[in-house]
Order: sequence, then C-alpha cells, then structure tokens
Amino acid sequence: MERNLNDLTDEELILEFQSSGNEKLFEILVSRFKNPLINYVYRFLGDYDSCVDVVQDTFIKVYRYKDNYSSLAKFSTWIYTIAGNLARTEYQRKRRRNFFSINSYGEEKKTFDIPDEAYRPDVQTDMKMKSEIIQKALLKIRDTYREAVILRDIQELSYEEISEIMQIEIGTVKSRINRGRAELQKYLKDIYKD
Amino acid sequence: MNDENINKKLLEDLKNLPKVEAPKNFETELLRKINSSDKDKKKSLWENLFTPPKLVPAAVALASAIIVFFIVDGNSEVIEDPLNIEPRLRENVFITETMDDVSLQNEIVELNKETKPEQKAIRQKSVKENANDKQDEGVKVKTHEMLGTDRGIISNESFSEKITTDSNQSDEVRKMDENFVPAPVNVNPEEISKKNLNFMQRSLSTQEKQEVQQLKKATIKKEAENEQKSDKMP
Repeated sequence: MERNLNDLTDEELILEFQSSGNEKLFEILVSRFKNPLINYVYRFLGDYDSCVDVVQDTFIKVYRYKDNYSSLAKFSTWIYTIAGNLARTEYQRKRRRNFFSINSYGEEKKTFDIPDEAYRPDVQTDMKMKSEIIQKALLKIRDTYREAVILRDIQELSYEEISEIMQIEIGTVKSRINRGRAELQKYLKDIYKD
Repeated sequence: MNDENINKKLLEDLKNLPKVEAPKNFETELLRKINSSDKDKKKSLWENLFTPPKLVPAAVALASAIIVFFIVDGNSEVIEDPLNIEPRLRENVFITETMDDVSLQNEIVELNKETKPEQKAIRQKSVKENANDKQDEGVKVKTHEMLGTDRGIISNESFSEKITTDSNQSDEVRKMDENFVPAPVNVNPEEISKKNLNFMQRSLSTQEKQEVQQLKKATIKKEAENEQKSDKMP
C-alpha cells in the first residue's frame, strides 16, 4: 500500500490528500519537497535557521490550505510559489532589521559596506570557500534577480515553471536571469580572473 | 578569461553548489507545529469567543445599550416645535377664495367700463397683486375674508388689502392706499354675535352670497367714486 502511495505523482498525492485527509500522503509530499525547498530558500536568505522556519511554514500552509490547490497547476509550482512568497517576506523583514541595527551605530542615511575578506585574491578558493563566496555574492544582487537565478541555475527549473512561480512573463524571467548573472559576474570577477 | 568563459564557469559553480538539506527532526517539528496550530485554531474559534472573562463586560454593555435604546425609543414621541409647524390648509377656505376670485374678475370688468384707461391699469394691477398676495398670505388673510363674507361685512376686504400692502405691494398701489378711504359699512353692530359667525363656511345660502356680492359691488363703486374725486382735486 505504502509503495503504491510512493508511486503516485505530486498532483495525485495532493488531490488524494484533499479528498481523504490521509496524513501519510502529506508526509510523502514533505519528504519529496523538503530538501529542494530548503536549498532554494537557503540560497535566497543565506540563513539556515530562518530557511528551516520558512520551509516549515510553507508545509503548514500546504496542510491548512490544501483545498486551495487546483489540479490545473503543477504541485511543485504551487509549493515553490508559497515558499518564494514566504522567503521574500522573511528577507524583507530581516533586511529592515539589519538596516536599522547598522544605522543605529553610524551616520544617518548612510549604510555600511561590510568588509568581506573572502573577496581578497589571496584567499584560498577551494570548493567550500568558493561556495561561501558565491552565496555572499548571491545575497548582494537584487532579490528579484536572485530568485530567478536560483530557480534557474541552482534548482534547474524551466523558464515556464519560473514564470509561473514568480508570476511574471517568460521574457521578464529571462531578462532577470541575465541581469542577475551579470551582477554575479561583477561581484565574482576576482575569483574568475585567472 | 573572457566573459563567455566566466559565464560558463559561473553557471557550473552555481549548479555544483553543495545541496543544503533539511535537519533530521524536520518532519517531527513540522507535525508538532501543525498540531499546535490546529489547537490554536480550535481555541480561537470556541474558547476565545466564549471565554467569560473576555466576553462578559462586552456582552453586558451591549445588552444594557440595547435595553436603554428600546426603552428610550419606545417612550419617545416626536415633539414638534410649534413655531416651526406650518399652518394647516383648509379646503373650505380655498373654496371661498375661488369664489372671491371670480367676483374680483367681474369687478375688474365693471371697473374697466367705468373708470379712465390710466386708472383702469392701476386698479387692475392693484387688484391682481392683491389677489396674488392673498394667496401668499395664506390662511391668515383668508380667515379674515371668511369673516367678512359670512357676516356680510365687505369692508374687511380693505383690512386684507392693508395686510398685503405691508408685504409686497408696488409703489403705485401704495400711492393708491394713501388715498384710500374705507367704505362706510351699513352694518348693525348688534348683528355681530358669536352665534352668527359661521367659521366653517360650509354652507352659504344663495341669499347670503347675493348679499355679499351686492355689498362688494357697493364698496367697489364707492372706492371708484372716491378715486375719481381725488383725481379731480388739484
């Protein structure tokens, strides 16, 4: 029986969960999507604890508002949209908090550029360090570009899926991805110089 | 390294970024949150709504407000300011006025025959204006007229004219009023008594109507004679 449930597609699982309310179906969905969502939200926020909270909130919303899902959309698109909205809200909340905490120690209307030792050319660029540098660079680009770049280049979703998740046109998705990549190159030019 | 190579390398690195995984207790923590949120939801629906300490003061205030509203509203009466109440219009008064209007039209025709053309115009104007003013003045003037017609005292027309001249008369009419002498009325004061006064004006006998018409004509003729005399005077 359990094997049969695992064979069901995401859409079949959620529709069955809607009708029967069987929590086993929900647990299967959680096991399928928890890591991709954690990865996506972590790359967007750059903070593991917040990212876990956001993903848990995402699943709570799916559980509570399961009836809002319509079979017309892909389940992955629906859950990525929820996670993206929650991640954006959390990011803006954190940014406001950081902005005020830094500004309280400095001059008015002036933000500080936190010195980043990782950008120095003499820093060792092994994979671990490199990933940290890339993550910091990701956090420096605009959040709209960042979301598009993460969904395309890290999560490897199609343009159509990204368009549905971000609720924008495919052309806009492409332009955002290109601009995001360009900004990333600008920030990461030192590690790719050689 | 050119831009294309940098782009390729960047895309590769992004793809190969280490995958972040969920903590081991993710599911248990999630289920705990879901269960707690469900309890909160149930609590918010029932307990929060019917928790006595929270609801009692509000319920008491609401109930007392409703009771007070109904008590006050039940006993309240619409009290009108007597100074702002418009006088009631009486149908019988209108009836008598229409009769007067008819008689006034006849008088104008008669006057046209008798008096000079200049005087005719002035007289017609004044009579018309008086008629209009009578309508404007409302019940007050009309009741005076009623009294006159009922008792055969036509001289009350001059009384109504006096009232109307106060409000809206033209200069020409005012000049006329200066020269106006009230017509002598042959009425025995003993005839006027409360019993004889017919306030309601419900039924005027034909004889009474004829008397009224005759008296009106007599006063108008006398007025015309007085005007002629005054015109002749240097």
